[in-house]
Amino acid sequence: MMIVKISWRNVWRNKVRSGILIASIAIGLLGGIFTMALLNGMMESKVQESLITEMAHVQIHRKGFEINNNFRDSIPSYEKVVKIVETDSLTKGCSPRVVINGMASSANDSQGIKILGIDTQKERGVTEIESFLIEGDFFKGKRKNQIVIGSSLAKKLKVKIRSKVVIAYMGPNNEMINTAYRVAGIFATSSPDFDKSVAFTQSKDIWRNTGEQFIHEIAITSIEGGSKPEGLRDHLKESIANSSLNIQTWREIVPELSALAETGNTNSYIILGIILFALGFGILNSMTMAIWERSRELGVLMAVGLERSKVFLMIVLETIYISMIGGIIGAILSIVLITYYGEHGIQYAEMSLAGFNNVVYPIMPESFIPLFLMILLTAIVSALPPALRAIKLKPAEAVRYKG
Amino acid sequence: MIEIKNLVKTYNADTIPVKALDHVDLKIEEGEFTAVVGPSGCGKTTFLNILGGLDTPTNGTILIDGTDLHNRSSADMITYRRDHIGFVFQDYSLMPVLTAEENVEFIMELQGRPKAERAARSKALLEAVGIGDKGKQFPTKLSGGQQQRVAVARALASKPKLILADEPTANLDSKSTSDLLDIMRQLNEKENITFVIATHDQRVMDRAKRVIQFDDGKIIDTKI
Repeated sequence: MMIVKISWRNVWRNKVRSGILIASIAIGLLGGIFTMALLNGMMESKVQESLITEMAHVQIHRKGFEINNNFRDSIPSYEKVVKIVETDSLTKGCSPRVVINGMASSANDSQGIKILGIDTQKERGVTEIESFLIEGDFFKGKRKNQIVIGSSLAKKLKVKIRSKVVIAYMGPNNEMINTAYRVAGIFATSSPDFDKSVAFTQSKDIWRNTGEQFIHEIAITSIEGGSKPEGLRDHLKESIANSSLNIQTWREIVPELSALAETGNTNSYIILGIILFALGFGILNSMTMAIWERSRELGVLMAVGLERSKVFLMIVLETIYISMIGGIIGAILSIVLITYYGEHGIQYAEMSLAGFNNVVYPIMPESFIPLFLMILLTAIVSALPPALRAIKLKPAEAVRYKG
Repeated sequence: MIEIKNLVKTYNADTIPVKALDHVDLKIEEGEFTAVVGPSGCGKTTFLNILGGLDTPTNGTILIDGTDLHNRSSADMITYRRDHIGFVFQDYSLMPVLTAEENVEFIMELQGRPKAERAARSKALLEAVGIGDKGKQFPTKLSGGQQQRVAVARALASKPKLILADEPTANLDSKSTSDLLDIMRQLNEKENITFVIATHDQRVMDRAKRVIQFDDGKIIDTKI
């Protein structure tokens, strides 16, 4: 116990040195954790935006549709499937969709797009694309053949609200269907690719133009949220029990989106690792100085009977105390800053770039345990050289040391 | 009884050899109060270091109660020093982060003695050296004389039979020196503890039962 007490009191012998070291660890850790929270926030925002603009949490397709996007691969007896989905206890919202790949053309230009034919009311229960509108409305009028397009597509086609856009696609019997639509609304998400390649229209218009009623996709949200879509998927697999259908979570449909979130974590740990590596040298330097100054004292301790293993422990403990104090202060500062900016957001660019929102809301790491383990490891590794130097001291020489 | 036979210590044996101890033969009986004197560099401290197991001889043996002191491993030597030898240094060498009581208790804790025993003995020892009221003070709050008394109490904590003191009065004023010597002599007489003190101080020599004169690593004179 006395060793523990000595180590603790040794921390405070040179308050300036320990203070600087503790502050370095705290600030370094704050930087690491905050960067981690920012990256988490960016990735989560990207994932969330994908979920609320199109993806939802779970999707049902006919098997093979996701590969060929074949018009004929519609969901058989879809009304029955939709009913099962809507009555599931984990379902929050359910939107049956027609999904067609086609060409959007104006008098100026044309662009290949994916057309989502939706039931407006049901789509509102699943995605929030309406909240991204920058002009016009989301199928409020009763006019037929309206379309809501992204800002990038509008720019490319040089069209505005109420402009005419011709949508061409292969019909169910491999005939070319050309239909003129009026632009009802223009949305702008943080993803220029999405804004350029996806357009919404009403499924009833597509049904009327093709002469058939069908859907290709059922997008569903779970009451358990986007982070836990597996429960809903498993429920639906059991209740629908149709082997011709693929019932998948967003993670299964777009694994790269899921990987993106993981990438955020990996990047964070790499950044934190670099920070701690640099801090390790600071700790090593300070502890080496401290041991050098205390050589005589350590020699006396060994002379009067302190075993070398306890000298080693004493130095490692002192380093661990310093690192843990710095770690706790850093963690508290991080919690305060992340909580504040998690509510207010940080605007780090004038506009959204490369699919990432320009306002980031940092997200608290799920656990601080890995961080503390990293600090602990840094402390122990940094303490090893001075501790090994200390136990190699010869008492007879050390007691003559004048500092 | 301590029997020193043909003790030799040579530094820099591979380059320019310096003989710090040159064939020293000596017997120290239990309960002696011996001063080792001589000019700086004559080998006093080296002699004390080897006698205390802090350093090893180049040649020769030290038998304590018939057992070769240096015929043990490094770890065993640390335990031996802890349990059988007390050290008092010129600059007191107390742990600055421990109070006077804790400094005395420290060695007893290393010996694995129970807390209650440690506390009682620490208090008793500080009383014995005349600073019973300073137990809660840190060394920086104590005078040089008081710190050296704590150092003596610490040296006694493990109930050693031998105390080695290297210039214990060098930093003390006359009054503190006199008080410290009184305490050491009392312990020597009452507890039969053997004291070997390396010193330049005439006051220590005057109170010693035996004075051993060193020069150039050799014993040149012994007075009783």
